[in-house]
Amino acid sequence: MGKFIIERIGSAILTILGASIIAFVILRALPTDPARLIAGPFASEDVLNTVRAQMGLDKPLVAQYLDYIRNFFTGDWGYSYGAGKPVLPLIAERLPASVELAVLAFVSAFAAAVLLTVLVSFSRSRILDGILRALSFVSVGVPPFWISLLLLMLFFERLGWFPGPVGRGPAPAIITGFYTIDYLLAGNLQGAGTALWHIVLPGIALALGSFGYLVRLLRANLLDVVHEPFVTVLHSKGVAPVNTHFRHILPNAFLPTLTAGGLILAQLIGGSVLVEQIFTWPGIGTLVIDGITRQDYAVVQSFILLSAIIYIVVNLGVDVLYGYVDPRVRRS
Amino acid sequence: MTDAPVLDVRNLRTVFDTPVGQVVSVDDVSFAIPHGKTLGLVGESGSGKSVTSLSLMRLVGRGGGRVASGSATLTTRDGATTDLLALPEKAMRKVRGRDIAMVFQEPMTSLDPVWSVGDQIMESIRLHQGVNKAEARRRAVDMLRLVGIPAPERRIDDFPHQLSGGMRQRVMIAIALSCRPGLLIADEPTTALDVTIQAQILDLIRRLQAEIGMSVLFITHNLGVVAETAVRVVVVYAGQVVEEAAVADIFATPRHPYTLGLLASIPGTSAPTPDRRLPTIGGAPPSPLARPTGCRFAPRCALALDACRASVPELVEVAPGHKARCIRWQDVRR
Repeated sequence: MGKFIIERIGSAILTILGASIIAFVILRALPTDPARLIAGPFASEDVLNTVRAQMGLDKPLVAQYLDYIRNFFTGDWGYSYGAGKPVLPLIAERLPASVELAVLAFVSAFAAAVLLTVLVSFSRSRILDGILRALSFVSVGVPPFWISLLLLMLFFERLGWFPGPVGRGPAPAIITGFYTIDYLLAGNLQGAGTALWHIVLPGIALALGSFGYLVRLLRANLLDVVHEPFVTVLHSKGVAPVNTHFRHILPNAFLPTLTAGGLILAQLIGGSVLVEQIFTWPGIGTLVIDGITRQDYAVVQSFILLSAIIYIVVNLGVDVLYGYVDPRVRRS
Repeated sequence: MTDAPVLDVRNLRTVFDTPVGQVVSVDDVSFAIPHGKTLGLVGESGSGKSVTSLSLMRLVGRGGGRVASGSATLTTRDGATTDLLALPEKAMRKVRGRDIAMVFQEPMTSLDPVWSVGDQIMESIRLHQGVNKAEARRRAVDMLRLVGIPAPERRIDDFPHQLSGGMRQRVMIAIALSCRPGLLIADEPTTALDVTIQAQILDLIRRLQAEIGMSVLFITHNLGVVAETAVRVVVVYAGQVVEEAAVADIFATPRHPYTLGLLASIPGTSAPTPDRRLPTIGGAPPSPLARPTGCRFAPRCALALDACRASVPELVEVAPGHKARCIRWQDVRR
């Protein structure tokens, strides 16, 4: 198991280096001149050259790349001319909002999908299965921005049960950046409740699609495994259906769901732009959209590499879990 | 010990309700498995032999079938008798694996790929014998040794994908025999294996049968295998028993043309044909949805008369302990 994890970490590092090269090359290949963007359209060639020298753009490409990598890992992620701040603190301030929303949405979607699907397939009830399938189709089909508006109209405007699109609510003293956890650390239960209350609607809007997708995936895999010959063997051994289902069939059907879960989590952290916009959630989704529209070079470059790292770290976690669920992965 | 058969099956009828009509897979099948001996159940694919075994285990429901009628009286080691087909599901679960165990055709897919082989053996032991984990593990090692797996203390933690097909079938046998069942149902246990491994597995089953003192229902399409293992043979065709006799009688004086065809198609048992090809039975078994009105074998039978096609022949006793379902049984000659 140790060797397996070390191998996975080694390949993860290589993948991050690959992603950094892509992020580097793409931005160098863009037709816009970053020095021109910063110095303005009327700057003289001398000024442009000074800016280029300041940014290191006059060095050879390989040297630029090494600078970029060194700076990234020493915490110098460049300067956002749009926000007038260094990029690292900017992202550090925004990232916890996205992560908190994404993780809560993901955990709810994943837990609900696995629990409901396994119970329904165990019950072998056609009616429950039909209901769950219908639910999953609708969940996958409705666009998040539309369901966001619908949720707001119903639960905020009509019923007044949940707060409106006002972001994360009152801020606690920042320790981790996750409001719910920071309130809990401060012993403020009411505050934690308020923070959670603000997450519910954007969380549902974000979770729904993943929920539907995971239900469909796990359901299909469970149906496949149920018809495997080894299940008949288990019955012939006298193993009770509940044990057959939860201890044998589920672990065999679980791997694709685990893989998809990792990809979904990574995607939710970096890609919930529309839901963040609608709920004015101060996450990195909105930050990056601003960065792109303002051609704020350092922000976008950092975001590309950061989301690659998030994908890889999450998938590394999945790989390790994989080894625990399936011995074939561990040994080969 | 009694002389009563370990399992007495009477008039078993298993049907599948399909959108295009009811399929009778097992049609009024009766046989008795002698105590401590092996009964061979022989037929080609689709003849209903596997459905018969799953019916006895009450596992046809998973495939959409149901036992429509019949009885199957099991006599356990302590002499108690129960009708398996009338048992509540919960009681039936205790019978499975403890009194009757099964070995299946496909060792490659019969084991749970994410459980170690030891855990899969221990699962049965702990379920039926109520022993603690350490004791179950000790017994599992013993079972692996018994079925001839080298270094069982090490192999017990292996996963199925680390074992060859023959080794996996040995593990399956270890699981099946771990609770010392009175009856083993072996459903084509050697079909998927290499010929050399086949012989080893047959030897193993025979040796353990004597050691544990159990009866075996041996299901196969290969009469040659039956000759080596069984004392009696039941031949099924299209869901019906067409012939039943002691092994020696089946080979010496078959009384049904289908049995004759099966015997002729064993390599090396019949005179070579002029073109030196192995004799085969022409045609294919009838679709269970469109069976002939008379004898079900008539369309493929060289001896068939109009009378054969008129009504289903009865299974009649043609000699003591020898039954055949053929009106021309006297004309059947090797």
